[in-house]
Amino acid sequence: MNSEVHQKVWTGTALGNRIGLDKAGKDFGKRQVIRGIDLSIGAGEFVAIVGRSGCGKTTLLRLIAGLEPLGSGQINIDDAPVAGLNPHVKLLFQDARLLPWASVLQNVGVARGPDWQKHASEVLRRVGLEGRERDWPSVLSGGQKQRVALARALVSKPSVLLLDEPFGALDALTRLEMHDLLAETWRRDGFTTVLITHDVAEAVALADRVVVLQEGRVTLDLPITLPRPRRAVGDATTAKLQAEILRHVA
Amino acid sequence: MRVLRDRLVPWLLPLILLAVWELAAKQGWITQRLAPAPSAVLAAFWSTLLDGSLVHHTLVSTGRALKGLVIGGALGLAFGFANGLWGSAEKTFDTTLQMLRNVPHLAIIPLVILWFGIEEEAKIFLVAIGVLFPIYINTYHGVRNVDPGLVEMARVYGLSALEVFWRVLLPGALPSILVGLRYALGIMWLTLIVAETISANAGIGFMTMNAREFMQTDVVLLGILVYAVLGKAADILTRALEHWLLAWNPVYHPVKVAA
Repeated sequence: MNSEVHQKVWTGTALGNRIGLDKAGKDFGKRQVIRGIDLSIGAGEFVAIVGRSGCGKTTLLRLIAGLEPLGSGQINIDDAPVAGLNPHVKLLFQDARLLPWASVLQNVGVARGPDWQKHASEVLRRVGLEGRERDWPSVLSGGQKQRVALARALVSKPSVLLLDEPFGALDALTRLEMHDLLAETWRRDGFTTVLITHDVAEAVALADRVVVLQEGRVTLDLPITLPRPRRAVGDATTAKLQAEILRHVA
Repeated sequence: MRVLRDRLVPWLLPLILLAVWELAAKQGWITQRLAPAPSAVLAAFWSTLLDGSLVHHTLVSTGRALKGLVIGGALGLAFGFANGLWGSAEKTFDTTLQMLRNVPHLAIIPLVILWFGIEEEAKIFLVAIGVLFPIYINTYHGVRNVDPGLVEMARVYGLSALEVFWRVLLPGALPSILVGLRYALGIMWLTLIVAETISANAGIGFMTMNAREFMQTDVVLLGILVYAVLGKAADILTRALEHWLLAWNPVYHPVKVAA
């Protein structure tokens, strides 16, 4: 849990993949959504991408995930260019996207694979949902649904985890719980993480680096060197960082 | 006591009506030949049950209904899924299907008789045509209304096209398909009644038409009751099917409070 362990995880020996964007661009017809972004994300690094709605951050994430074809430039994961979906890259959506007709366990093990039931219940225990295996998603709260979605991503041992504002719809307390869970999981598993959010406090609390996106361009790339775990929200340094980011977002 | 009373109240009026009817028939206020007493219908039920004709005709009718349902339902499902999933299929078939749908299927009876004669095929064909459209439309809308986000999620998690169909599209469309099935069952019996009344040598429709020839009004009434019971039975079966297949849907189970 200390920062030394965390340093070890994300520099070098991590399970995570490097992500490299080289003049990546994307347009939908006449609208240029992503305008030649250069960005390099280290293996196991936690990067938060902040921006207003419509700044292209979700599109950027979908490009990295291989869900949208790239318009121009190149995106590499380790040294392989992204061309379609990559089994090592998993995505957490804004809505949990659970299959309503499948039990919690079946949702976590949706990709099946050998011994999926055993792995799925192990991961469910890790996200604090032991004993809910047989429940339908409809009886879960919003936070619990996102926990199931996180477990579903973790069960496949991803080397890159992309998060598209997954905590945006949760209440403040549940959101803090989810932050802790994500930070802890990331520290232990060492996957590369890209978090899309419009919540500057969330970005500062979780990420190694905050990237501000405006009209499809990177306008700020700020390292966050606050010690982990970051329970103390609201101290002077945090406030200063948040203020600087907000200046660029506005 | 109160529960018992609440249970009994809805049946009070039908029972009074039956009693009055029985009394009126027995007293000769209404002609037995036009409206036989409830007891006469009961007697007809007993005698046809004993000689085996009731069971025979009911089985023949049910067999026709199910054959038509399977053929028409399978076609409706196939077109519903194809048109819901592929734009090219929709372009090719939907306009034609919508035109055919708007023709009352009983209006083609003369044509059906010319094509198939008055044999079994004619009745099964009519039932199949009747059930095809409600199943088609509801399958189509069910597939269209499956959350595309779920399909995308399934792709991210590496499900093949076939797995996406079985585990996402089919269960997603199922509530709507079952609504279609319930409509289809209603149309199925209706079509069969008409088809059997026109021409048949077995089945409930034949039984009632035959009884009319001999002025056995009690048997005619019995036939009508059998249709009512069959229709209700089909409805009960689909409801059970819904509760079983849609157990995940909050509509079908008491929602537990999320802990």
